[in-house]
Amino acid sequence: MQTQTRRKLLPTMIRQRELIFMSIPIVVYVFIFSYLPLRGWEMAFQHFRPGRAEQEWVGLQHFRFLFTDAGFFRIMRNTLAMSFINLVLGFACSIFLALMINEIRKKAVKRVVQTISYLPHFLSWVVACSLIANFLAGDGILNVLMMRLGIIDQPNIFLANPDYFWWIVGWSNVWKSVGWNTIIYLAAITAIDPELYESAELDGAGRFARMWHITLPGIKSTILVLVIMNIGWILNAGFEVQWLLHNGLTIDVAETIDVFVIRWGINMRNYSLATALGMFKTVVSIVLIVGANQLSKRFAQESLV
Amino acid sequence: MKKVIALLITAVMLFGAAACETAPTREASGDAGRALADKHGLPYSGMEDMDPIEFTVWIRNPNTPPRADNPILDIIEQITNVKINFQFLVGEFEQVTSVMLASGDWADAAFLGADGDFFLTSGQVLPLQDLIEEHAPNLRAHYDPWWNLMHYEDGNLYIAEIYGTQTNDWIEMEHWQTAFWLQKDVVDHFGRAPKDLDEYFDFIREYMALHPTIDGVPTMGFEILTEDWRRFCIDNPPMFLAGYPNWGTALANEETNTAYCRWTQPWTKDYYKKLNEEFHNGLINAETLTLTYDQYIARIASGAVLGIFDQRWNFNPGQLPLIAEGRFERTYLPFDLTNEGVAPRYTEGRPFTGNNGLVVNVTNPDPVRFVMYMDYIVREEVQRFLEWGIEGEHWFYNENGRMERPDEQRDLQRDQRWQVDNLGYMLRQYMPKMEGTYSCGNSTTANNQPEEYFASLTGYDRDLFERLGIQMESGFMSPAVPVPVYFPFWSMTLEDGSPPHIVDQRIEDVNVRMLPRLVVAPEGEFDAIWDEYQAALLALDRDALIEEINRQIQVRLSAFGSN
Repeated sequence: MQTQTRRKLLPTMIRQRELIFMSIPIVVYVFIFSYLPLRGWEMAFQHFRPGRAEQEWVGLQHFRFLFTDAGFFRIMRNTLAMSFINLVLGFACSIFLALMINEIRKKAVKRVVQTISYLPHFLSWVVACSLIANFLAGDGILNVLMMRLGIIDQPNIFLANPDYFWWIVGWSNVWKSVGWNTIIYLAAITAIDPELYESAELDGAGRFARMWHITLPGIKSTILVLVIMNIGWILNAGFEVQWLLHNGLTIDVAETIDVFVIRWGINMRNYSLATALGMFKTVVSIVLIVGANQLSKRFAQESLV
Repeated sequence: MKKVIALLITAVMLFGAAACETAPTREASGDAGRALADKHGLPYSGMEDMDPIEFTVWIRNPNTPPRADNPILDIIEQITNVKINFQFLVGEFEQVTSVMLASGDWADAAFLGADGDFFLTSGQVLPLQDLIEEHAPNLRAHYDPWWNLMHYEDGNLYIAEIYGTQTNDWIEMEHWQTAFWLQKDVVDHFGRAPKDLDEYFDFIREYMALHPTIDGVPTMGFEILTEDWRRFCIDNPPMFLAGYPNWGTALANEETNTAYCRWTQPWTKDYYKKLNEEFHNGLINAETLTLTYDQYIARIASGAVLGIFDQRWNFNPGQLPLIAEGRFERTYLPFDLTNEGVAPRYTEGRPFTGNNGLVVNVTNPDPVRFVMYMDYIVREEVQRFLEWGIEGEHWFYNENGRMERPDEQRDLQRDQRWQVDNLGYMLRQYMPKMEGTYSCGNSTTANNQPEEYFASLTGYDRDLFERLGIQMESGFMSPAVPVPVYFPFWSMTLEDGSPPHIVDQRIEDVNVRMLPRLVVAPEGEFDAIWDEYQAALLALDRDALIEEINRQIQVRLSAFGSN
């Protein structure tokens, strides 16, 4: 088996030389921007000061500072909670929206819905967050609407309430990325053989039955690949939303790993600490990706590698 | 096809070459420069025959450069053959400066302020003491009272101070520092100043009951800004109420020259308890604690905010639209409220901090020239020219030898942008400068020249001040009380990552999350949250910070003593 693969490798490469040629820029890119900087990891074990030739080595001091910090547990909790909310809400909403868009028969309507839903993707978070802050303000549209409808009689200061913060972040992410994320599902859906739908229709399957038994299984592999990849990003709960929407009242639930890096690493010019945290995140990500991939292999016979 | 591409490439290359060539090369101004100096009564710079040179200077604040054809700056440029290009902060200070330092690639000089001390130990900042001694006699004389104080602990002078070098008498007509501010119409309604904090909030409460909306906007009683470093609006009031100047996170016992922590004091608790009460009374809305600076300024500009605790320079952008709209009654008057039996120390005069100035990059192409330029700028004639403008056009001497502006200049100069575009304000602001009075007794800032101030008062202000029995806007503020040489602590450098630095950041962390919670504490829970706050503070090694401050007090005392 193994000798067979090896013998076949060279001819296969020659046969696919265009593909290999096309992938060269990507390989170079990844090498330059993802592998070369790894050398900088040595900063995590130094007391790094910019502009000096010789750096002082301090061993695991920064890791110790990190893991013994009283706030570390809180930061991990916030990061994981917001990531989980983002992951679940993000996937559920974009798959749902993709299925709905797919069911629209009128092409023009479909286009309009798609365009509107993925427009927010092109806004920067700074702009998006000021929109969100206005939307949620005491005299913002949400409060006005709820008061007019008689749901509440006093404006609710959403951004001052720590109970809402994770959900604000979660739904902000949905609003901003749901349309964009549907694109890949819609593409996967078009690859499903139309004959499947026709025969199902003949067998008397309704719309929902077709969605459930044909469309969803048809894009299952796409969904799984995306889930596995996203699990690797679970320690990246985002930075901009939390940074831009947090305040003293909500910081206990808003501070994520990335916010911590900015405040204790970059802003205090403790680059070594920031690097140590970066290393920690990378290691956790690799473990999670490999784990999720194994699980997926075992239960769904799908895998990345 | 190939031909087309070749043509295109040629065109692009030609265009590129042309773009390179069009860089303007000016000649030394020589006699023309000296003639200009003579014409405007300015001294020669000694640089008239030197090759023109440009320096970029990075500034720690966002700002807009003056118009390119600014006549005053153009004259200075011709006399010195030096052009200064200001680059202003875009983004967040800590991040931008950290990247600057990490890359080593920053402007020829920079104004970093007190937060930029970490540059000094990086080896990227040029020591200036020898250059100033050798090439800048005027600058050396200008700095003389503080010369020893300006040296860093390693014996080098890195920072060419641009603030706090008071020259002759200090006159201040407008109060630009800390105060409790109250809308003029509120003060007018009661006809007097509030005597203490309780009455301050009483004024707001009564006025708010009478005016639930102001020009259609729901009235906001008391606003508190808590965004990022502008959190001093929530941090500092207890300190001022207790009769201290703006020390910082620790306070000084001026008799023993030692520092102590201010967050555990009983009067700190009193203030936040008061805020908490007013929160339940409806004078403070929780939303104010979520505001960004821009939103805060927008609220001030709406004219519906009755009271704030702030520094004038921080909230002033919100007043400008009100002035432009002629809604003078919605602008503010400052009050130096204190706890019972305590003398106010809201005004500090011009304390010298020693680290609010320009640093020169070691990569600066011509540091001698840069120092010579600063030396020229700080000369009295040049300072007057930059601030007041051209004699006979922007100002004149009246019969008493006092400097005055003609009426049409007063109208024009009400617009601060006009001043920046047409006078030398930008250069004066970001270079070493005289602050106080000239040798002839006229004020170094036109706005602080009493005659100018009174002449440019609006009719509304004049009448209001008369009704209230004050002369000027700062009429209710007590005069400045001198501060010790080691004032203030907030400008002290703590070594990056050292225990005092970490404790300082941790104290700030605790304040960030606890002070707003104290303000909005549910009824009956204030004391529990206060105890939680105190417990969080006590868990920190605050002594590490206090000891470091005490050490630096001694360093400054001995440096000043040896002056």
